[in-house]
Amino acid sequence: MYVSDRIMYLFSGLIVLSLVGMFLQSWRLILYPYLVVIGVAITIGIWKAVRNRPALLWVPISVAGGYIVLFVTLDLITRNDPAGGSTYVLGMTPGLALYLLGILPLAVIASLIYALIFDPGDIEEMENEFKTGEAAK
Amino acid sequence: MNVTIVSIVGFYLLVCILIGVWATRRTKSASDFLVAGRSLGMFVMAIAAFTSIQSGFGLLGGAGQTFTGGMGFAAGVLIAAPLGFALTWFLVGKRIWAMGEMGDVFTLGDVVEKRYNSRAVRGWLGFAITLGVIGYLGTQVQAMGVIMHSIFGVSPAVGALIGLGILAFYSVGGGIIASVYTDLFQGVIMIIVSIVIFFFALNVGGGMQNITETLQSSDPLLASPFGNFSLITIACWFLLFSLGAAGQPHFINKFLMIKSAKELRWGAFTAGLAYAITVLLVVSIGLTARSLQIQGRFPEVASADDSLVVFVTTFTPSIIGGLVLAGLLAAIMSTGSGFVTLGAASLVRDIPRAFGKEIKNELLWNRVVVFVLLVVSTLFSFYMDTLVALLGVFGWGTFAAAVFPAVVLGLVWKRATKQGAITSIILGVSLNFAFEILNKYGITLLPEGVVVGAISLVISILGFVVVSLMTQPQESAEMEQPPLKAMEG
Repeated sequence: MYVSDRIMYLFSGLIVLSLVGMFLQSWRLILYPYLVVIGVAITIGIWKAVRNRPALLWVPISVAGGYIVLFVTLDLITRNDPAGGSTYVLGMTPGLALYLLGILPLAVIASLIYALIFDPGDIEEMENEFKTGEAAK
Repeated sequence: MNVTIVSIVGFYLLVCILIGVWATRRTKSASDFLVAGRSLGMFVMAIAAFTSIQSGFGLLGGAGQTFTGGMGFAAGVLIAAPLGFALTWFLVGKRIWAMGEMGDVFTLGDVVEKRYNSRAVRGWLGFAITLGVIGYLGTQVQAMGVIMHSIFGVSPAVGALIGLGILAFYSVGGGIIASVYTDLFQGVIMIIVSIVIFFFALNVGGGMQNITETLQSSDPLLASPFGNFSLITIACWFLLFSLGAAGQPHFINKFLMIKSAKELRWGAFTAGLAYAITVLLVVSIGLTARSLQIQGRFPEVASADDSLVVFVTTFTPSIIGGLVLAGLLAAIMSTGSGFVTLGAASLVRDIPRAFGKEIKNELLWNRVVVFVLLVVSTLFSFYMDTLVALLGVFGWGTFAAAVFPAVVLGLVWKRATKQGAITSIILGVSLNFAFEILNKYGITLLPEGVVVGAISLVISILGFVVVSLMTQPQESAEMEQPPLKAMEG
């Protein structure tokens, strides 16, 4: 089950938007399409599993969605004040706290999700196919 | 010279030598030398992947950039890299491993030749990787000299020679086995040091809120998530250092080394978590050092990149200082050893095979070429500073732009063609080189703040897709079954 052309076109289209953002010097036009690219890239990565179990789409949706929610929040709270407010969260400005306690851990959570949805049965089947030469048929 | 620091670093170097001796005994074939005989478990592979991405640039440069301009560098580069591990594992972890199962696949050149059934793609990829390796090695030699100088008080040239001698000892004999097991040792040092130094730095700075308030009193931007950096640059970095991670050859070739696909499961989490922990070291030292400087409590530094070394030698006990400096040396040497083996594989295997020639006794020639590469990069760094600086631009961005489309997208998209792959490799190398050289001579073609590597990556991806669509075979030529099976993921 190979990645369909349509998902590659979606990936490329979003990359074009980021490129346009670079020329228009709009950081939002660079970043926001790229956050969707993250979800598309994960979908491409687990395409075979998604085709068999469409419910697995929760993985790319929650990772990309999580980034979008966090960056939009950061965008909103830092619009008038680069610190994001005058309060402190664990001694940090709200903006910095959102970055270090939200955006940084989300990357590690995405890796954790990879481990949690990992299917050992699928791997066993794949290893057997290569060992027995069945993959060559 | 501080005796405790010298002893700790001396012990670290001795362990590297011992690992080299052990690895040399284990290395009996080209497969052992290049892919560790496909024998690695999850933890060794994941920590080797993490150390190959976290280099001296990330630690020394990251702390320096945070010291100078606040969190912008960390927000764009260091916080994107852990996401890079997740994306890479999702996109190609299983696929590259499966390509390795097809037999006689030791390099990314082998992978692309099987994928595209094209020696030309292998040759172009080998060429791009070789250029990058020489540039990277030259800069690692220079960085090693600086660190050895600050530890042992010897001249940077002598320091570089001592470090290189040890690097050569374990890399020539033990190849990638020596590289990944020294990486394991070095990675563990980096993780421990980062945790210790994080709490230490906060304590020296009087707590997080005190640091934040001091930074705000000088410049409110220093306590913001973006510091004094341009938001466009940060957005470009975020894209380049997360998606582009999957294009780093010294990282993704490690998927060829694991013994079973089951070992993939916890690898991304281990590598990502390890990297995220080292971000704490960079951020805590950078921000604390700056707040101490604002208070007039930090010594003068000649360059912002010195802030990390000055902080640990001035404000931490010698034992922690020694561990941090050993960790820094570890970051530089682990990157160097991974690259030198990668370069040898390109020169001994990929480029000759691209011309239809197979080298006999690959193990011997890989060892010879590793030694030659180390000598050449040392001579370049000593006598051809400008050339090293120019080749040094073949860094992350060039690898991302040249390798990501051809290898990563090629392995997930069936309609990718060899013409598309070659186009993207040529675009990746030439755009990075042209933009950087023009920048060096004061000619700026790109909009302000746009990062060369990021724009080269996106253009290279688009070139790959467009040319692949334009060069579809008239009659659908079926690919061989094993690569197709591997591409299913």
